[in-house]
Amino acid sequence: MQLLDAFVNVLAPAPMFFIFLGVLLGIVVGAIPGLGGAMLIALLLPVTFYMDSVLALMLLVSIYVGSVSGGLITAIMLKMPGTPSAVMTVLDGYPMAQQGRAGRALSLGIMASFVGGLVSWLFLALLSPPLADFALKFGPYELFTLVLMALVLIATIAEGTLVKGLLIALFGMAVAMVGPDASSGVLRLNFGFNAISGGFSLLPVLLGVFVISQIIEDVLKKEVPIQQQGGKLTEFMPTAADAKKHGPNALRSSLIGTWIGVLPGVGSAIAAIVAYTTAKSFSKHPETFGTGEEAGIVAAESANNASVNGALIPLITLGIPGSVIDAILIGALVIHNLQPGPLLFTNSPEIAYGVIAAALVANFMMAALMFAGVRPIARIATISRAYLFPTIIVCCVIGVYSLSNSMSSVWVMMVFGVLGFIFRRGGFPVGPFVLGYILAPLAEKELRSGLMLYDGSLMPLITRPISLFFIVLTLVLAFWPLVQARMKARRAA
Amino acid sequence: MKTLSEEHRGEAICLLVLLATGVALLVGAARLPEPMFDPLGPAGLPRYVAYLLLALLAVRLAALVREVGSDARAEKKRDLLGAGERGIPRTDEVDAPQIVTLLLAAMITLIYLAALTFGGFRFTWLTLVFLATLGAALTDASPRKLVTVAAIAIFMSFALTYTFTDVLSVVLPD
Repeated sequence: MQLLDAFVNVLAPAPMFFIFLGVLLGIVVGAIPGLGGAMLIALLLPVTFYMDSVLALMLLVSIYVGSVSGGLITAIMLKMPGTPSAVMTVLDGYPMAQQGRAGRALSLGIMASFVGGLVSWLFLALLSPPLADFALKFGPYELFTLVLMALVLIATIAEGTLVKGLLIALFGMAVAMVGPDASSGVLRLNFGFNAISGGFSLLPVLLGVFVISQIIEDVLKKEVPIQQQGGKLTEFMPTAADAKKHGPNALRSSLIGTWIGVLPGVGSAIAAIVAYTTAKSFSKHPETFGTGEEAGIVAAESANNASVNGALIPLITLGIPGSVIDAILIGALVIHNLQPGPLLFTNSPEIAYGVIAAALVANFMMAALMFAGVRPIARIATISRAYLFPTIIVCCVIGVYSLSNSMSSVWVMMVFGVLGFIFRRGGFPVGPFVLGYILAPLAEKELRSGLMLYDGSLMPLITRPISLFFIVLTLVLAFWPLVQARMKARRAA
Repeated sequence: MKTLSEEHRGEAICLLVLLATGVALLVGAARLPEPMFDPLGPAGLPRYVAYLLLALLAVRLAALVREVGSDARAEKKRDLLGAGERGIPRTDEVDAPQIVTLLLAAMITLIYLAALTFGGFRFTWLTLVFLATLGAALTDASPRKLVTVAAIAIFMSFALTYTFTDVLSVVLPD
């Protein structure tokens, strides 16, 4: 019933406008290599300060949906995955475009994205409310072990080694601990500098690590002139025969994408890779994958889009980010004085159900916009960075300055930009940093609440079944890569 | 082409940053008061994070020392499924001219931020100059692109000022 109300609200002119705007902007940044949904959402956070919370969240979720989809346009037409999630789409999409079948590849990609979004939305709508109800039974130790598991999983899956992922996540936690201690009010780790006594705000840290560091990284790379694949977009509309031919693959890949999206920190790129590999192993002609195989595009695109709604499930039910963009969305909730987690359904149902409704409408809008605007979007993606980067920097400066009316926040952003760049160059993934930064306060709060509740005893961590389950899962996740490597080495020997 | 030593140097710098962070956490935690309301207290988490950070740092440092001098990591996995081998273009190569461009861009940005910090300039005009100079520094300086950069600078500086001050009522650093 509340979901129905949310749909009625979403279909009003203002929400529809913001969903349209979000999807359009998301598709465009998703299509531009080097930019991405995380960057745009972080960039738009200050603008949302002045918006109604529901509309702000709808805008950001729509950007998320659009950005994951937009990558396929440039992947197929320019051989440049606009986002990491489109990396598998390049493998078959570009060869199809070279064979003069760009229209067919785009059409399949868009339809697969739509199906992925639709299937995973059903899970989001059906699972979220009961999961949130169940999560309300969680005590502080259950939540602490859940956060612990999320942190370990994020570090395990992140690009690079497990140790690097954990190190950068711990660095994020360290940054989050600067400022007043939430329990006692004691100032921590400011070393006498008044400028950082209040801690590092979310926005300068996010914009620095995601936007500024990415700009530095991109400036350091040589700008490659992008050649668009020419020709008419024939075979552009999918047919009923396509649904029959690719339906099972799209459905299977959507389920894979949804499941991978639910896992904290795994993200849409991994979803696309797993679905692509699965489709290849199920195929009667695996040798055709990588040469313009339609099933490859369907698998990759349905999975990466499905992961978006999958990742929204732990976000709105548990307050645990499923991906880096989700971590930024949690930041958006906090900025709007909303409590991410199971209480969102109780305290702010208009937000929780509004997000769910907006995700579905955004999915429809994504498909419509992608079908209508493939050519101009591909052209936008070829815009030189000389025209984009200076404006992006000015937007960051204004956004961060408006937070405190002080240039010190802007300098903090620049410092984190340089740090983010250093870590990127050192082969450290920056995703776990942000997730560590977001999750540290939650982990500390729950651990200390648990200690107070159980008279300083840590025993309930292993005597309570849910927290024990999460601890065992954390250990398995942490040590599985080591066991796997040892097994591989033994087999090779 | 990124060489092995470059990659190791980059990682070594990161490890130094992390080492400094670990030490700072320990020093900072030592200065904090004893627990008042719960057994962990304000120093608890910083201390445990520091221990874990330093332990993992030692593990990574040992691995790095083993890796130095070996050719094993020359073409370390760049992306998740060897996309480079499959023909997806590599864009992470650094040329000397790119470093010059980066330094120039950094200098222009620092001057812009310093001017905003110390005041005395109108935001719109300062932003116009910043957008034009940074845009010009990032182009190949062809006349057509410079004209486009100038046009974007003029339009964006006024459009951003108008949007943020008149529409969103944001105070700009003037």
